[in-house]
Amino acid sequence: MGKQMNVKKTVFTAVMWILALMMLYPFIMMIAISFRPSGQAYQPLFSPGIIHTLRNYNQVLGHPNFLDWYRNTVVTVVVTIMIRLVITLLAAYAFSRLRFKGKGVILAFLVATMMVPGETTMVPRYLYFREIGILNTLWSIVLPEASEVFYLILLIEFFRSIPGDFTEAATIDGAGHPTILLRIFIPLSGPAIATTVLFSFINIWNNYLDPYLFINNIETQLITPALQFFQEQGGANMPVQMAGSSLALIPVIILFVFTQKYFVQGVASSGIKG
Amino acid sequence: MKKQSIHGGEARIGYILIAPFLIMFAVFKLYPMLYGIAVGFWDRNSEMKLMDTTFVGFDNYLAVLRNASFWEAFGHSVVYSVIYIAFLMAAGFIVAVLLNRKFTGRTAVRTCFYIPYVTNMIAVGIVFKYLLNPSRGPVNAIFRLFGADGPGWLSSPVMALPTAAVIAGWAALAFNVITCLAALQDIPTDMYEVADIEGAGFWQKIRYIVLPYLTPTLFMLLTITLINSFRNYTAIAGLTGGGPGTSSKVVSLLIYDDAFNFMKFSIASAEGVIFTLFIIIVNRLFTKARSVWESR
Repeated sequence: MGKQMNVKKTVFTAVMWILALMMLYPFIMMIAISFRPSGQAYQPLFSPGIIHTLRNYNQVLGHPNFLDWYRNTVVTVVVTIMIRLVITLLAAYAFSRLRFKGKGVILAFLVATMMVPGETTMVPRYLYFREIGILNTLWSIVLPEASEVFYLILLIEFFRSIPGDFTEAATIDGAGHPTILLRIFIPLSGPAIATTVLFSFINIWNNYLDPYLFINNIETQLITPALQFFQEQGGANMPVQMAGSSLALIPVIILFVFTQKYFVQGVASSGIKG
Repeated sequence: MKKQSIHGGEARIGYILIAPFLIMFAVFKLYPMLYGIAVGFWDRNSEMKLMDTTFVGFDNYLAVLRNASFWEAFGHSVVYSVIYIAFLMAAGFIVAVLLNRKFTGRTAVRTCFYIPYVTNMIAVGIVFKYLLNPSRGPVNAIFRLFGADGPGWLSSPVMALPTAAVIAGWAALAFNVITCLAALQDIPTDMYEVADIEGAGFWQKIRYIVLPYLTPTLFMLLTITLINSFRNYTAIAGLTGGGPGTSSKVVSLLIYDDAFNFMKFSIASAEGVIFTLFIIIVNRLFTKARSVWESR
């Protein structure tokens, strides 16, 4: 009986590890092929006679705009996160702790707009951003990204979970709302803020449609849509495309592996409370 | 009139605190959504008329509703969403049940399942176009090992749309898995102990403990997955570009094409508005169905 259980357990563990490798297989291939000469792109993973080369990475890094794309992406991510955090923390505090007329209606309306995908509003967004003159600048990404309802809900839910005793004690001591927010809520919200920063980083880094629509000059582009330049320029040169993709993915994957805890917390809390 | 009650003060501070968020939202998110409705009523259907505000009534909206390519793309969007939702709901639940069991290296295996979620669809598209290359890719090499030719995947008119939907589902899997896992961990362990004493098997535990417990979570996930299934531009653009031919051209690609390749901005706006209405109706119906089910 015990032995049979053990065999079962070993088989299960093995199957799970095989499934895990299958999930990673595309990325393993991506990295493996990024080091090959283009002539060997379609040879199997462990075939004999494979030559390894850094030529593809040299070609990607040697693109006159590659560093621009990286810098643009980092700037966009950092500036968006800063504006997003400030305005969302303020609003989340008001929505979770203060009583004012129309609170419920405003919040319900904001949540309802979440079901409208950016896909169906791409044309008016393009025309409008053109009219107000932010097309082809990083502002066309930063400004619309600043107010995301998802993060508002995330922070509201977190603030609601902070026990009332904390604020009551502070109110008796005569502390106003700015003090309560700055001295009590923000220091207690480390995990929620970490989740916001992490999610924002990943989403903005991977954003394709908006920069693809709103940025048309090559030196202002962000890294994800810029990958298409290797597809056009490289033609069928698979390894160069793979090298570009690897360089676009690696920062996000590394960040994720080290901060997984906050990521899982974020998904679980945003999910369960709907 | 000027009495400053504690309540009045609280409300005033409330409005001040939500103002920055609401102003940014109104200017950069809400206004463009409403602007789209207006553009649909104007005549901006050529490059010269990019700023035109001639009122043409419902002409654009009616033109869209009479256009066969719109309904073709509409059908593709629906097929894509159905496959994407079915795959994600089933795979998310199954993987979560598997990852909830104890085994050596579970944390690392979980990480492997989550990694695709944080990667971008353009890079994923480049890799999958390679893996699924009909004649030279490693996936069809496995088929050839067994003497079969293997499907054309992304370059077959029949297979392109379902393949793209499943790959997009694969990339989004972590969200459903993590949410299901969190709900599974909330099931009290004594439920399983009672089931063990009563001699219930694995499937009985799933049927009588896990599924009833997870129903609210699964409904919530279904809502989110439904909404996300319409955010499909990047997946389709990165994997098939709408092809071969127009066999995987969904509404979002049609909107892009009509606006930025054919310069029919008003037609494209109208397509967006009509499809948004469809999404709202589907969500309403789903919410209705859910409340009927829950009050059963």
